[in-house]
This record gives sequence, structure tokens and C-alpha cells, in this order.
Amino acid sequence: MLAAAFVLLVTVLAVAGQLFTPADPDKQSLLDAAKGPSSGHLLGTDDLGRDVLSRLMQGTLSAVSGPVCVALGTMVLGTALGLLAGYYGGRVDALVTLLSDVLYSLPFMLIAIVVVGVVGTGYWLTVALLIALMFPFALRLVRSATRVQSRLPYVEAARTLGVPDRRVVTHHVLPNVSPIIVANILLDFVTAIIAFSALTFLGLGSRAGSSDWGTMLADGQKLIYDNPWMAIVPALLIALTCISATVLGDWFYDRLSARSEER
Amino acid sequence: MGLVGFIARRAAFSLLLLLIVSFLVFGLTAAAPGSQLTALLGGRPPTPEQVAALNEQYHLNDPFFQQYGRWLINAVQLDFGTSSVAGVSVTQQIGQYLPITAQLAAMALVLSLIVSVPAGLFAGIGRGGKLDRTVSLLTVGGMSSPPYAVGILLIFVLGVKLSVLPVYGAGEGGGDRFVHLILPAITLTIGLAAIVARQTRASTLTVMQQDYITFARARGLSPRRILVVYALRNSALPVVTSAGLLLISLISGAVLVEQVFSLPGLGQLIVSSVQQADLPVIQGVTMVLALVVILTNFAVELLSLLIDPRTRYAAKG
Amino acid sequence: MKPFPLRRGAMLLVVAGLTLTACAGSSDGPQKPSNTTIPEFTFSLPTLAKSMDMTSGADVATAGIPAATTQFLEAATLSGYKPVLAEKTSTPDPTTIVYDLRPEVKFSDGSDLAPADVVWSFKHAQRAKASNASLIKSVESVTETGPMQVTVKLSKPDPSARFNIADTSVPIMQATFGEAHPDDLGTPDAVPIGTGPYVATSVTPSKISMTRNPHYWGTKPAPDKLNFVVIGDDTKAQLAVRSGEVQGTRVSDLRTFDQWKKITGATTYAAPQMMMDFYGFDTRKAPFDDVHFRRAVAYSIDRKGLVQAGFGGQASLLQSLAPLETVRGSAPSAEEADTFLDSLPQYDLDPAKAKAELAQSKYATYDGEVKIQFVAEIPWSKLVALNLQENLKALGIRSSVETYTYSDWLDAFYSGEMKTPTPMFFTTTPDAGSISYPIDPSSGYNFSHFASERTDAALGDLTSDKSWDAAKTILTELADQVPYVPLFQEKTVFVLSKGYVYTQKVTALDFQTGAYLDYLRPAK
Repeated sequence: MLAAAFVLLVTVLAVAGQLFTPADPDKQSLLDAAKGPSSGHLLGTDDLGRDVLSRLMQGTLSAVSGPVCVALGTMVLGTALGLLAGYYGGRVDALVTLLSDVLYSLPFMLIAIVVVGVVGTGYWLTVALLIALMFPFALRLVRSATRVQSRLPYVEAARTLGVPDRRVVTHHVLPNVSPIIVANILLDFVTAIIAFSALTFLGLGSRAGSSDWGTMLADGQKLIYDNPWMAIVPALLIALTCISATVLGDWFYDRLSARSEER
Repeated sequence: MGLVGFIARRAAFSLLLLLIVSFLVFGLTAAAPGSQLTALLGGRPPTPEQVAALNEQYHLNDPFFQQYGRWLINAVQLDFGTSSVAGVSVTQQIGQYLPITAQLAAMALVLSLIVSVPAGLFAGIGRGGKLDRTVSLLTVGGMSSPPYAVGILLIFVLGVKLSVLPVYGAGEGGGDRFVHLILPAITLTIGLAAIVARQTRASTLTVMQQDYITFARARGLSPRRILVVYALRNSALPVVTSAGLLLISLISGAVLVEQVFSLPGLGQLIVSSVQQADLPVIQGVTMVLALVVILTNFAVELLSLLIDPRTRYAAKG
Repeated sequence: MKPFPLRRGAMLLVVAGLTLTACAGSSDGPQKPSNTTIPEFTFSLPTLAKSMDMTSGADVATAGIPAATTQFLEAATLSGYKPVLAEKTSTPDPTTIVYDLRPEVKFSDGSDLAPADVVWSFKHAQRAKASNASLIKSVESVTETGPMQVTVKLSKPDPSARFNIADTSVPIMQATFGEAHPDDLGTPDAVPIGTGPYVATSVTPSKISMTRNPHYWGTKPAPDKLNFVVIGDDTKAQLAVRSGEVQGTRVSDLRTFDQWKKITGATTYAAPQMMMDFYGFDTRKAPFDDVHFRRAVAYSIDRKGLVQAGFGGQASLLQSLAPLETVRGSAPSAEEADTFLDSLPQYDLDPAKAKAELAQSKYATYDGEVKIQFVAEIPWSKLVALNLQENLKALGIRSSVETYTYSDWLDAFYSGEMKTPTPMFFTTTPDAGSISYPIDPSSGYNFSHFASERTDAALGDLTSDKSWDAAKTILTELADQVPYVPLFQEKTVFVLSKGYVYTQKVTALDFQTGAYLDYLRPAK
């Protein structure tokens, strides 16, 4: 419940947060830089004297939009290839498995650091990179679930009845593997949000096109004795968002898989 | 014969993987041609003679495949060239930084196995109970907390407020090193233990539903015996087979944790090399880490072949 | 002709000024130095030297480590030169430097320092891979001209050459050992043999330990044992200084200055640095080809506020496109230098003037987007970029802020593909010759591509006896035409924990040349 409420809060902040900021998030006041909380600034100010609370609210959208895109992209790619490989098997399967094996044998975070650091990508290219690195995990999940499904008698039956493959996949196999897919979206979202903020933390944020909470955490860490809220609040926001999304993901999985068992 | 063939196929596959990885890793050079020269110049305005000399010495103007071929031949002999920044051989540098990462990883691995295998096991046996729910909640927290945030938190609580443990650096000598690695290892363990606990719990659940457990219970065997003899042994297999996955998350976590605790390990080496565009070091470290992962995966496959006869049938079939 | 326009008289005045302001705040009153030794002293730095051979990957941030073991012919200071391995240095003509070596100097292995070692060290520092080779590219030949004398011939008058030789470019190492290790000199297995007060006993990526050099020729510094450890950022370094695990450090991000001052018993030492921070415009590109537009932008940076926000107050405003010491070093007297600087137009935040200049420019209604660069690793540049963006908004100019990493920035800089405006930060030398860097087409540093008849004519005079007039002409023209906006001159801040003092202010140059160890004392 709490998790759902928090995810809702973050969603609301992302959509409408910029409209309700208590102060102008861009307004600078250099002589009031990095001050602790006061009546005018509930969470104090950052290194340019800007209101931390307002900036956190404004930054929500860019903090979650990238990870959401990564999660959706991973899902689409992972599901499509996973269904394909799991359902048809054979050569397609072998090729897709090889691809995922390559990416599976690389430490994901390490590759993200190296590629972002050496090639230097922008925000959307980082999103694409994360999708490319993460979809093999989704693919494996969907593939094995599909394989189980496609060997079940009802799929055989549908095939013998001359139902086209595409229809079998979309109408029979997909609904049954969907709990895994849905739960996985939220988990991918968590991985992506951690990856984004980790890149920023390592000082590669500029190359990755920084997500705002991550940048604020990295900046705030240096001035933690001047205004601790500058680091603690974004860190908490990131952690709570991740935990809530994971809890919600697990809950979805349990609910949906229970339902499909009943069926 | 089928068995030997299977092993040979897997070995060939691992080699192929290595080759693909090496190509991708070296391909980065092509993606950032200017930076290598800048790194070699160390941030000073170049003289034309210097540029020419460096281009010649490092073959920077050769065609891509020629450069790749030369690099690959050397890499096979574990020679990754010299660091553009430090002018030291990359292999030597890796040799210097590797021990800390290895020690950190080993400590975190042992720690997380000690904590999470029993936790996952008991949670799985008592499905839905209080313990199960607590463990599940903790694993969710552990899996979704950014490691650097955990590290910073630990530094402030244990290092600053209570000042019981050293918070930076690697220390010297066995005992001192051990004490210095406690906090980083705990930080790394939190994420890792969550994965292991989840895995153990899931496989315990499966095992507990098996007929032979029901049968053992019906035979009146003591719960402890069931646990040790059947559940633990049978649920260990999935954990062992996921060693590759564990290793990957261990390496990814170590990169961040080393940064938080100023530990001079491979993670810190690669991050600083990335910041300085020191391509030979980046390529060397990435290759070595990929090699470790691929070898581990290969070893795990062989191991599970020995442990579980069912996979042997699969191999033949 | 005066070969090296470093006038001794002017220098002495600067030294007096420095000593008066030495020793910044300590939280519980000044501690007195004692003359006893320190059993063990640990210094923390954000990174350790990647090589113990300073010519491989030399880096001003870590140079103090190898500088404890290898020394230079002379030590550059903000106010001239201190003799080290050369007892006497003379410059009979603009292209000759003669070093008379100190007799009876021994390397740490007991062998004697000979001219051959110096000649080899020059050759080593000039090899293509040496990181500072380009700084001493005017050195044409180095020859042994006496039993204890070495003569350096320059290909053209180069006032900065002597400074660079004395800075970090040519550390003197034992030739025999160096020749025996052509490939691995500087690695833990082949630490160069030098004449410094310490010898390295262990070199690891996390810690470098040193003990006294038994054959050291000079006055021994206080620590018996000396360690260098890595601590990545200021926050953790503060913890280490608080707990006493580390006794000395250098502040890496000046924004944290106030946090350092709060540490009980610790003393901070701030000294000016031969470095200038500024923003540059590519004057070939619209809209920066218009002087009024450039001035409008220059009037839109809150320099004074940024000294506080970006440096915790530990920087001074650049009054011209040269550090104060350079201008004073070029002028006949410090007073004359200061009077001249006060006469130059200054660009501080002034929305009214910015508006007026914009109205006069041919881009009065500019509807393009100004792309402001900053470098991720340079904290002040980000603050300047964001501040400029905010103030341009008030002028009705649209702008975006773009990040570079330091290595990308270098790439773009040397390939000439840099966008504009961009931050720049140079360490420089205290002679008039260095004023030419940002506008001399051959220096490799002329990012603005700015040229005018007046500056072109004056450039050649910078190394002649008309150097002060030439310097004034160039600095006046630069202040009027603003191809660059002079911003800050950062300070170097060292911190010592309770129980230790510096007997005088420690500059970045003192760190690079190893002098920072000589000033260290235990407190009484």
C-alpha cells in the first residue's frame, strides 16, 4: 500500500511537480549558497543559492522519464525477441541466445561506464545503451516462459486447428507470460534509475546527460556538512522510488500469476 | 563421446564469446580516435613532431583491422600495451590493482553466503510466515538501494558518528587490510545477499513442493534432517549455477563501492582511466574482467554437469 | 636587451607582500613551530602520482610526491628562483642559461651528482613521450661546459623556459639508473634515483611510503617518515584529518573551504596560485564577432558572487588577462603594476551596461541560441555557465548549457572544434612573455582567434626591453576588446591537522618543487 502510494506521489510530482514549486527553481542567489534549511527554503539552498525543494520537485520528471523509457524499451524488445525465440526455437532461438549470451557475459555496469565514458553519449543515447544492455535479461525470462507455454497442449491444439502462428502467440502465449513481463518492467525501471544515478555519481553524468536527482546527489555530497539535505533527500528519493517500484513489481507478479494459475 | 563433444562445444562457444567481446572492446578505440592522442599528450598543446612521433610509436594511423590484429595477438599473451597516462604496462597495473578487488569480492561473497543462504532457506521453508515476509522485505530493500548511497550512509553512521571502523583506503598487511575492507564488503554484500537470498528462497520453494519432501515428511523424518539432507542440497544447485550472475553484480557493485571508499582496485582503475581517456587500460581491464566472467560461466557449466545428471542427459540429447 | 624580464627589485616587494598576509585562519589561535622532528607524517591527495618519474604523466596535483625524492636545478617560486641543485644560474644572453652545479651533492644511492646526470635528465625530459616536452621545446642543446657546469642553449628567446625548467619539466635523476630502465622508469620496480630528502620504500596504488635519504645534502625536513595516501574527495579527507589518520592535505574543491575551517585544531593555509580562470569567445563566430555583444555577455557574469559560491572566497578577481604576479613581474614596480591594473575596465555583473552594449551591437535582437560550455571536473565553470545562462535570460538572449569532460574539452581545444563561449584555465609563469599565450597564433592557446594590429605589433616586444610597454598595450587591448572575460585567480589551500604548522605560506609551486616539506614543523 505504502509502496503504491509512493509511486503515485512520484508520478504526480513528475507530471505536475513543476507547477507547484514553492520558489522559482532557477532563481540564483550566490551569496546564500549551500545554506541549511530556513523558513524561505525548507530544504536549504544548493551551491548557486537555489531552493533545493523546488529543484527536487522540478527534477522529478527528468529523473524518472529516462528510466521509464528504458524499462518500456527493454520490455518491448525483450518480449518480442523472447516470444520469437521461445515459440519458434531452432535457428532463430540459437541466434537470439547467442546475442543474449554475449551481453550476459559482460558486467553490465562496467560496460555502461566504459561506453558512456569513452564514446560520450547524450541522454537518449544512454537510454538506448541501457536498453541494449538490459534486454537480454528480459529476453531470457520471456523465452523460457514462452517455451513452457508453447509445449502445452492448448497451443498444440490451436496449431492443429490452423490458427496462424501470429494469433497463437498474441492471443494465447502472450497473456500467459504477461505476469512476468509486467513485473519485469518495474524491476527494469529500478535497475535503470540506479544505473543513471550511478553514472552521475561516478562523474560521468555529464556524458550520460544527467538525471536531476542523481546530479543533485553528486553535487550535494561535496557540501554535505554545509547543507546535508542537499544529498540526503535525493538519495532517499532514489532509494524509496526503487524500493516502492520493486515491491509493486513483486505484488503484480504474485497477483497476476495467481490469477493465471486459477484460469 | 557426447559428453566430450558437449564440453568442446561449450569451450568453443566461450572462445567465440571472448573474440566478440575483444572486438567490441577494441572497437571503442575507433569510436574515440582523438582522445588517445590527447591522453598521450597529457593535456599540453602538442608540437607537430610530438604528434608524428606518437602516431608512429602507437600506430594510431594504421587501418582499424591492422591495429585490432596487432592488439589481439598481444592480448592473447596478456600484453595490453602501456598506459597512455602513466606510461606503465597495463598488465603490471592490473596486477597492482587486482588484489584489492579480489579480496573485496571474496569477503563480500563469503559474507553474503553466510547471511543469505540460511535466510533464504528458512524463508522458503516457512513460506508466508513472519520470517519469510521480513526476508522478502529486506531483499527488496537490498536489491533496490543504490550501493553508493548505502556506502555513504554507512560511512556517516559507522565511520563518523560512531567512528568504529576506518572509512577510506585499503590499509596495509593482512589484519589492517581486513579491517579496512569490512565496511566496503558490507556495502557490497547488501545488494549481493539480496540476490542470493531470493534465489535460495525460490529454489527452496520448488524443492519443498517435490514429492520426495512430502514423502520424507510422511516417513516422519525430523524437519532438521529434511532441511539439511534434502532441501539444502537440492536448492544449492540453482545458486551455484547463478554464479556468473553473482559475479557480474559483484563486479558492477565493486566499481561503485571502490569509488565510495577510495579503494585502489580495478573499479577505481577503470573509472579513472575512463575519465582520462586512457584507452589501453580501459581495454585491458574490461578484457580481464570479461575473461573472468566467461571462464566462471564455463566452469559452472562443467560443474553442474558433474553435480546434476539431468543436465548430462540434456547435453547428450 | 633584458633577456628575462623578471626584475629582482619588483620581486622583493611581492615577497614582502606575501609574508605579511601569510598564515590564514586557525580555529584556536596560531600554533608556534618547534624544531624537533616528526616521527611520521601522512599527506592525503585525491590521486597518487601515476609514475614516480615526473616526466611521465606529470600532474600539478600530485607532483609533490616525486618532488620529495627528485629535485630540480632551481625551484620556481611566485617571486623568482631559489637555488637547489644549481648553486648559481646565469643568463648571459637571451638564448643561454648557465647552471653552476652545487658541489658534493649525492644521489640517494651514494653516487655523486655530475653534469652528465643533468644532461641525461634534460634528454629524458625532452623525449616525445615526456608529458612536459612541449614546455621546453625551445631548448636546443644541453652541454657540459665545465667540471660542474651545464649550459642550456635556446633556439629563440623564451622567457618562460627557465621557469618551466625550474617548475616540473626537468627533474634531475641519476643517469646510470635511468639508462638501465628505458621502459619502466617511474614504476614501483624502478623508482628513479634522485637527490631529494626522501627515498621511496614502497609504492602501491593506495599508498606511497618514504624514509629519509641518508645521503641528503641539504637541511633535513621535519618528518622522519613520510606517507602519501589517496582520499578521493574532500568530504572523506575531512573525516581523515578530524580523526588524525591524516596530518596534511590540499583542498581539492574550494567550495568546501568553510567545512575545513570548522575542523578543530586544523589550520588552513591559503596562497595565490599562478593560475587564471577565464571564459573565452571564438571571435570568428557570430554573434561573438561583435565586440559589443562580447561586452554584454561579460557584464552578465556575477564574478564577485561566484568568488564566494565557487571558491568559498578563496580566489581573487582577475583584473586583467594575467595573474597579478605576472603583471607585477613585468612592471618596473608593484605600484606601477597596480596603478595600471586599476585603470583597466572591469566587467562585473551590471545588467544596465549589458543592456546598453547589447543595444549597440549588430545582434541587438539576437534570436539564436548561445551555447555555454562548462567542464564537468571544474566546479567553478559549471557555476559560471549557469549564472551566465540566468543573467542572459534577463537580456532576452536564449542560451543552453553544455557539459564537456576534461578530456573531451582538451580534444575540442586542440582540434579547434571548440564551441563558444568556453571556460579556460591556465597555469602560467610570472614573466611578461607568458602574457602572449592567449593571443599568440603559434602558442596553441589562441582559442579566440583574436588579432589586432596593436597586439600583433606588441607581441614581439614582450621578450625585449620594451616588455612592460608591450604588456600594457596587450592587456589594455584585451580588456577593451574582451575576446576573453578574465574571471578568477584561485588560491591553493593546504590544511594541517592539530599539532603541525607551516612556517610560511605554501604555494602550488612549493608543492611541485618539494619546498612544501621544508616549511613543515611540529607545533610546540
